[in-house]
Amino acid sequence: MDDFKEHATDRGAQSQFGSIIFRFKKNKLAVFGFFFLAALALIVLTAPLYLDYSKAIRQNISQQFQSPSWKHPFGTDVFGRDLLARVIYGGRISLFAGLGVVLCDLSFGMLLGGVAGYFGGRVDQIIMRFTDIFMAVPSILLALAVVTALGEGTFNLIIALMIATVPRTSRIVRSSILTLRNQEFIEAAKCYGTSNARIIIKHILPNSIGPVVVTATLSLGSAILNIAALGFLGVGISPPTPEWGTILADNRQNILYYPYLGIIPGLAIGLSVMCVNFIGDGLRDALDPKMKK
Amino acid sequence: MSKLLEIKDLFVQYNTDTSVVHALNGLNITLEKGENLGLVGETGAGKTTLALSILKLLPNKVGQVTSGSIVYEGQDLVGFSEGEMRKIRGERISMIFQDPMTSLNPTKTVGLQVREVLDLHFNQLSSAEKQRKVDALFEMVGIPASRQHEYPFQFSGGMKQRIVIAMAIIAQPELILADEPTTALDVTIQAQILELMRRLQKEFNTAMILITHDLGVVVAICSKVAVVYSGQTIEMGTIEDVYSRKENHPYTEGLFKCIPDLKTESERLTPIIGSMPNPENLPSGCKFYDRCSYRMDLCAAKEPEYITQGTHSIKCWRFAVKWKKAEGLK
Repeated sequence: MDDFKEHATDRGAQSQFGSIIFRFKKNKLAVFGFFFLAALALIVLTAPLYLDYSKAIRQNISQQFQSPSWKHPFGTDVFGRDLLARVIYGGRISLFAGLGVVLCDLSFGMLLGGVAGYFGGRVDQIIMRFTDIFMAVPSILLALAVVTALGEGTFNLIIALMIATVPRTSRIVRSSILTLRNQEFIEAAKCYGTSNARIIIKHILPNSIGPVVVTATLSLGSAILNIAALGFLGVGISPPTPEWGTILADNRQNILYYPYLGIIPGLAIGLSVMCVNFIGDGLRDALDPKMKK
Repeated sequence: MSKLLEIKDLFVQYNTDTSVVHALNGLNITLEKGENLGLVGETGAGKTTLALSILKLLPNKVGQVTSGSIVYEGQDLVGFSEGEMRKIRGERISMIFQDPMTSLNPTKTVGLQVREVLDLHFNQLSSAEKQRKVDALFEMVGIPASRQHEYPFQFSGGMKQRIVIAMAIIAQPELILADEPTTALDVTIQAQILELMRRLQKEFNTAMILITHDLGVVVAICSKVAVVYSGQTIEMGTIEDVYSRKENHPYTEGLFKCIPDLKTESERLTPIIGSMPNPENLPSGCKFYDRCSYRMDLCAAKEPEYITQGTHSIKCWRFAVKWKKAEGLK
């Protein structure tokens, strides 16, 4: 009995946040993904401290198509630019613009979807008709149009991609809230005098976090890819600024003869998107209290 | 004793796209402080609608109070704004739901959920004080306080209902609306929960409206009972008035007949023939006319008066005539 009590208080002392961390740690892949991405982010963020930006953009034709060596660990491209430097500096845009897109996407998507789903009626109708209009246009075309109108630059790119993805996110959030709205515990919360804002934040959002986290991780992957696509189409990030997608696009003609030019930026994109998905999986399980073991 | 709640001639309707559903059609209830009222009636009689009307939680734009008053401590709640109601909900009137399985948030620990009521209404208390209150209440409802950090799925149905009761009572409201609190539980747990509710209610001197269709539950914890039929109070009185079975509304009489008798052996129960009138299309006279074995021509033509003798009120022409005569003789 004493043992039992001790155990119970032990567990009781664990905060909600602590138990989420505890459950997240159990998922080895997620932990790997987290550390890999963290290391990548650190390398990329601190790049100006140890790597000169000019190395990523200065052309030196005499050095073109060098295979990976000590001097150029990832080799060089058609203009003789060091691929390692380009991948590192490219990551700054790919990862952080991607993150920016997802954060904006999530905050606006959750706000719009949350309001539409919770209040329903006319508000819902208005918001959903707007998302219908936006969803009628293919998202990449929409982003293209917006970025053309706003002009080039990372910030405008984030805005454009956000506008293209918010409708989908708000729909997902709305649908998960619709199923929650009529649950008895929401009605119970109303009976205890809880305000609407508090019900949304404290009761509805924690219950809808699962699908939202999954959406977020998927859209981080697609955001990275969309940034690359826009770069390839010549809008958004303009050359010679490196960015994973544009690096890939720039080297397209030479990939057949110099595979490392495709493999390395491709790996950068693939690995980081994969790690994001691992983290998403781990988070989804960790946020579900029923997984508490 | 002073009046806590007086509902007079309350009419509530639900407007749907195709029809108007008359859920409450002149419902009357009075409740004193600290008193327990059992609200009995069959499915669709308007019991839950009544609870939602008191808390003003009728579905937006669909549910509508068309006339009547809900006077709570001298104030008519019908005219209250949403903001004013929010201060009343949970703090002065709270509710216990039918199904404890779904009335707790699955992603929050039960302790936090009980505590949230304090956060909402007694935010001036310090964190430690709130915690002490929560701990004390958990012990009171019979759950070790050490288990408050667990999630709803880790508890059984009866324990969850204890937690729901803790949430309802922590702010020490003057009135608790219990909407079939024991229906989802098995009989032994039911007895425990009823015992718990009776104890807490005495301790906190809280009034309670117990909504149920179980006449046995009512007699276990209530001092007063109201029988609702087709959105109307057809009979209200003390337990003695109603359960002595001397003078009852024909419907109540029928309800008692439905209860199996332990002493006599019978193959079948005696049901009340027929069913409740369609709330979309109500008869103009007595709502029970079609099923009543005492019906008279007057009943179909005119709605009976709600007549009171002492503590006992009945809405039936038989008693209206009889009781008035008795009064005349005095």
